[in-house]
Order: sequence, then C-alpha cells, then structure tokens
Amino acid sequence: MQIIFTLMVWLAITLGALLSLGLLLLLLLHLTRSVNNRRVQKMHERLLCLISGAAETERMKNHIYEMVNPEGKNAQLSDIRGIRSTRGLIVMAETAEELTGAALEKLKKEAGGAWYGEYIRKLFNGVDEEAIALAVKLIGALRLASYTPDVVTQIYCCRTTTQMQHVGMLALCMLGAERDIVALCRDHTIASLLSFRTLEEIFSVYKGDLKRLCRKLITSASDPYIRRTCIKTIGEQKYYDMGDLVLPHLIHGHINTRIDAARTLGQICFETAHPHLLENAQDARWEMRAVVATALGAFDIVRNEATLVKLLCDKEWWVRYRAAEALAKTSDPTELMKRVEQTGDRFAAEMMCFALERLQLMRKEAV
Amino acid sequence: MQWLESLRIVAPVVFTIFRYMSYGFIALLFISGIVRLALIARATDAIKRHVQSLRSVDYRRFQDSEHLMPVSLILPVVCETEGLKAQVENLLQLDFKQYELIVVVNSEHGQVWASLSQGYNLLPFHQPFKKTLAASHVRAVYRSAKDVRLVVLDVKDSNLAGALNAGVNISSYPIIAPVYTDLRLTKDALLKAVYAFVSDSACVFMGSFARIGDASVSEAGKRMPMLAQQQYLERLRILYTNRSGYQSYGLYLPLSNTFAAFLKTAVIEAGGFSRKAKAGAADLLLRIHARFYREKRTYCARLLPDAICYQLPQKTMRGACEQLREGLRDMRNTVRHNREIIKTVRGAGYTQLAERIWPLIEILGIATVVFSAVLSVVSVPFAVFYLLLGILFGAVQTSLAMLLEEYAFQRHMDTGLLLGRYVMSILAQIGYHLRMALVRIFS
Repeated sequence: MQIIFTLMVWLAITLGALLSLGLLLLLLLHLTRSVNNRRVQKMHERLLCLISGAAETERMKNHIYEMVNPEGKNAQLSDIRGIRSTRGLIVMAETAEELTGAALEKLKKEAGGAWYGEYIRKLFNGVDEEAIALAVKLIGALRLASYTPDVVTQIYCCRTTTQMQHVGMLALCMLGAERDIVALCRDHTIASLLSFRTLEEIFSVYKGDLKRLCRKLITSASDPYIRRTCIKTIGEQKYYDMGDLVLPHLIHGHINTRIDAARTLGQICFETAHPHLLENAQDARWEMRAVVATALGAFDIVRNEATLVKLLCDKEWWVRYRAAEALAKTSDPTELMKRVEQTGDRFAAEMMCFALERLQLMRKEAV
Repeated sequence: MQWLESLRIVAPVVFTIFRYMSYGFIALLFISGIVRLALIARATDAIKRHVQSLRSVDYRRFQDSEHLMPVSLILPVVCETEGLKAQVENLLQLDFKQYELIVVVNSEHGQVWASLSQGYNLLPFHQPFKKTLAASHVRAVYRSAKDVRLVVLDVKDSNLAGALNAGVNISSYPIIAPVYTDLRLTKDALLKAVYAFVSDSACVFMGSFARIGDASVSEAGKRMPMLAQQQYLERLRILYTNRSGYQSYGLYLPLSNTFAAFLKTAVIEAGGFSRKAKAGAADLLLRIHARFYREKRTYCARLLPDAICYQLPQKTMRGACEQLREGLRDMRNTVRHNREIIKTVRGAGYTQLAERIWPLIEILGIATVVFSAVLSVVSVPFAVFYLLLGILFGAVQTSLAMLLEEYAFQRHMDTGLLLGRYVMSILAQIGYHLRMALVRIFS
C-alpha cells in the first residue's frame, strides 16, 4: 500500500512539474513578446522556435534573406543557428524558389561551399532517407550541378523508395541533367515507382531541351509510363514536328498508350494521323472513341462533322459528351442543331444543346 | 437482525474487493496514461515524417500544374441551413486550378434557395448526365453566371445519400469530395488532399480529421468561446491519441461527416452512398475496402493529418454532447453493417477500446475509488491522488496534443491564445472531459 502511494505521489509530482514547466514557458513567452530589449527578444525568439515549427522556419528564412542581402549582418550560412538540420534544408530549398539573380547566386555559393557541403556529404553517407531526400531536393532547387553524380547514386541506392525516386528525378530535371536522366530511364534494372501524373509533373520542370529529351526517351525508355509521358508532353508543348514519332504508338501498343497518342496527334493536328484517327472512331473501347472525338475536333470541323455526329449518337455518355464538345466549336450552331435533330437521337440532341449552352456560358454570353 | 449479522460477515470481503479494485484501477490509470503518451510520441514521429516528405517533394508545385487531377466538390444541403452563402464562398476560394462545386439542394427550402439563386445568379441549364447511381430525382440543373465552377442541382427529396449520389452522377471530374454544411476548408485543402492521388495511383480515398474552429486566416487568431476551445482541445486529444485506431481505415469513424476525397470509379464500383447507412462516407469507405480486399486489388486509403478542414463549434454543451452521441451511434451502425471488413482492417479493436472501454474504466475507476474512500477502505489521500493523477495524465495528453498541432500545422501563433488553451487543457479535465466520457459510455 505504502509503495503504491509513494509511486502515486512521485508520478503526480513528475506530471505536475512537467505541466508547470510548460505553463512557465508559455507565460514567459507571452510576457516577453512586447519587451523592447534585444536580448529579451532573442530569448523570446528561441522560446517561440521551441514550440512552433513555423516560427523556426520564419527565423531561418529571415536570416537567409539577411545573408543574401549585401548590406545584411550575416555573412555566411554558418552564422545561421540550426541551418545544418532537416528544417534548414527545407527552408533553404523553399527560399531558393523565391530568390533570383545575385541573391540566388550567393545562396548557391554558400550551399555549395565546404562548410555546408560537409553536412550534405554526411547526410549522403548516413541512412536517414528522409534527410537524404531533403538534401537532394535542395541540390535541385539550387541547381548545384557538382552534386549530380551523388543524386544519381542516391537514386540507385534507394531504388525501392518512391519518395527518393520522385525527389531524385525532380532534382535531375531541375538540374537539366539530360545524360543522367536518359541513362536512368533506359536502365531496365530500375523500375519506375512513380505514377504517370507525377512523371508528367517532373518532366514539366525540366530545365534543359525538353524536346530533345522527349525525342530520346519516346523510343528508348524502359518504362511505358515514361514513354507515355513523352507522348503527352509532345501534345502539350505542341511539338508539331514530332508527330511521326507518336504515330506508331497509335497503331501498335497498349490501349492507354494508344489513347495518349490519339490525344497528342489531335493536339498537334498531325495530318498523316487523320485516317488512323477516323479508323479508331470505331474502336471497341469507349475511352478511345471519346479521345478520338476530341482529337478530330482539333482538325477541321466541317471535314469531320459526319464522324463526330456519329460519335454524338454513341451509346456511351462520355463519347457523346466529347463529340458534342468538339462539334460546339462550329461556326454555324443552328445548322448543326438541325443536322443533329435529323438523326432522331434524343440523347444526342440533348447533349449538343448542353454543349452549345455551356460554351455560351463560358464566354459569359448568357448573362 | 439476521441481515445485520450477514452484513457483518460479508463486509470485510466487500471491503477487500473494493481495496483490490482500487489498486486495479490505479494500475489501469497508469497503463492507459503511459499507452496514450506513447501514442502521442508515435504520432509526433509520424507527423514529422509526413511534413518532411511533403516538403521534400514540394507538393505546392502542383498548385498551378496542369497535371493535378481535377475535383468535384459535392455539398448536399438537405435542410434549411444558416451561413450557406459563407460556406459556398469559402469553397469557391480554394487554391486549386480545376474544380467544380456541386450544391445539391431542394428548392422548396425557400431560404437556402433564395440565398443561392440571388447570390450566384443561377441560370437553368439543360445538362444531360449519366444516372450511374441510384439518386434523388433531379428536377433541374442550374449553373451560375457569376462563377462557372458552381453547379446547383434542385432535387426532390431531402435524403443525404440520395443528394450525394445525384452529385456524383453529374460530376465531371475523377475525384469527388463530399463536404458538409458545418465544414470550412483551408485554401490548400484540395491541393493537399488530391496530391495523394497524384503521387500514388493506388490511392482510392483520402480522409481528413476536422479540427474545431474556422478555416479562414482572419478567424484563426480570434479567440473562440470557452466551450468551443474545449471542443477544439478534446478533438486534438482524440486526433493524436487514437491514431492507431483509425489511421488504417483512412477515416475516424465517429467523425464521418468530415472532408474526404474519393476516387470516383471506386465510388461507382461500390454502389455509391447508401440510403440505409447513417454515416454515409464511413459506410461507403468500408464497402470500398471490402470490395478491393475481396478482389485482391492493390489499393490504399489514407488519412491526411494536416489541418485542412474545420468544423464549426457547437454553441451549447447539449449540442456538443448530442454531436458526439450521434457520431458514436453512427459509427456503431456502420460497424454493424460492415462487420466482415472490420475484422480484416487493422485498428478496429483500438477504436472500440478508445471510444468505449477507456472512458468506462475512467468513470468506473473514479466511482470505485471515491466510494472506497467513503467506506474508508482506502485512505482519503489515496483517493485524492488518484483523482489528481487522472487529471494530470489527461492534462499532459491534451496539452501535448495541442503543442504538437501548433508545432506541425499552425501557421499563426498567438502566445496569449496558446497560454489560454494550455490552462484550459488542464481545467477541461475536471468538467468537459468527464462529461464527454459519460456521453461515450451512455451513447
């Protein structure tokens, strides 16, 4: 009984002390917030950083801005307390996105210097994958080209980690390291763990010649997602002269690749692909018919009207929707509506009516 | 006289039982306190990793990206609701490139209808849509001339599941996100929620844990009434001490009406929101789990720990109790209907323990120890220290949860507010927390 009671008393004292300490800390923090003394303010800042991640980030960011400012107090990164930490890596990478010109160069020089380099190398030699990923992100954000081989090594070392592959490829794209990206993408021993949309996003930040990269990867990448990303990029970036590289993917390939190819060929209005697109308007998969409807809409509407009206009468809702969207671009909606009504398909007429009204609304004509 | 004699014989036995029960309860108090503190420590590590991982891939790049999946927000307004205009405004101001807001409403609710049609200049629209799910009958579709992202459906009945299904049927985008009338979203809510779908193609659901308060930056610094602060603190304590229970599902089951994002194809495959279910989103999520699990498909349902969604606080204690009671009843109803999948998804046991058993132990412990002290079975100081330990353990847990939230997710720190909340986290153990424990037991 006595032992239990003693234990309870000690536990209560410990918990009470813990709570009192927290209370004291917060009280001190609150009372010192408006004291106009430099030392007190510094103490206030330190206390605040203990309980707020945002405050710590803000403090580091302010010091970095001071450092990159020629008239600032901090001359180098080593003057910033706690910068050699995972939070420091995050703050530097985020600040790098906001800086330009001489300020960015100064930060780049400091981060690429011996003092900070020592920390980055220590991380690369360690096992903390989260910290390594942050260091790799910083290398990309600051375009520290001297670390490119280290980034590649880390991708190989952590080939089963999605996050590392994501950050590593992102950093390489930010560095514009074409040779390394091509080598990695061609390597069959590295399976891409990244989703299709992530790859698209990564490629969109590529700093080098994106067209040349797509040309190299569309035929040689080991991962079909990467080839699809190249196909989509060609359409989005409107690389009109690369249609001949995309066309084979419409003719042979996996259905998803064929769908992407059809979309891209429409986006770049690749004339040679037109008969193939018409052929695919009768594809068994509705996803393909829907994309073909959009692709045909990018070509001359009058020339494709008959096919599009046929697609407007499709049994699948999405095909009708896409065909109506494509047909809505017509210069003579009244005539088009007459033709649609002649089909006798109530659903096609409804959809066409909707697409025309929606277009009007988008143009704010309905107001 | 005979019964007095019997009592004299039985009394020492009863006293001994009470003494050992008191010791047992002190042991359980100690164990539950340590377990919960360990869970907070685990949550701290997990959240630190989550924040670092989001920062390393810099999800904010996606804000202006063409490659983010567009979202259809569905707001079912099944009864007369105050502040609908404020909510619609909140939902139309999110930082996200491509999304639509589908408000499902019954035009017979005059006040709601008037605020929408006048505020957003609604135009009737002949929009054909695929009736994939069994839904409420849609009388008309309206689009706003003021904001093209707003679509309003006028439905005949006032059933939540029917309204949500009608929204799913008309939605144009691959991700659907139901929102409810008492929720407010932060500006980056969609970006954070949808990022999971982009980064992981196996993701079918992303849940969130609603905090108490208002999402707008201007409101964040404002002091909430005392009751609202207590609700906020209790919510945080649950968030960080019960994570093991609900994380594997992707949703905290007693809080089903929170912001969540579903992959539309998964919703359609699972048959949409069920009219029979009391907690629509939780029921649908469990059916999705069951279907994918049965078909041995690779999938994942995640829970976003970030503060992206805020639930407006209840104005009265009665309201707060009723809300909790309703949430727990809905959870039990959902669990009853999805018993099979509950057995296979990890964490169900802990949710039961956290929601029912711990509060029961807590209240029974207090009652037993106090009664034992009255009977002089245990000393008064023993009882006092038992109660004090209960308060201290609870206060440490709540204040740690609050500080963790502040450290990880809050952007605007007001030291005065924090201090007030800290004191409140100690005081709340005496009144509010006990009341909620009783509601949990008798719900």
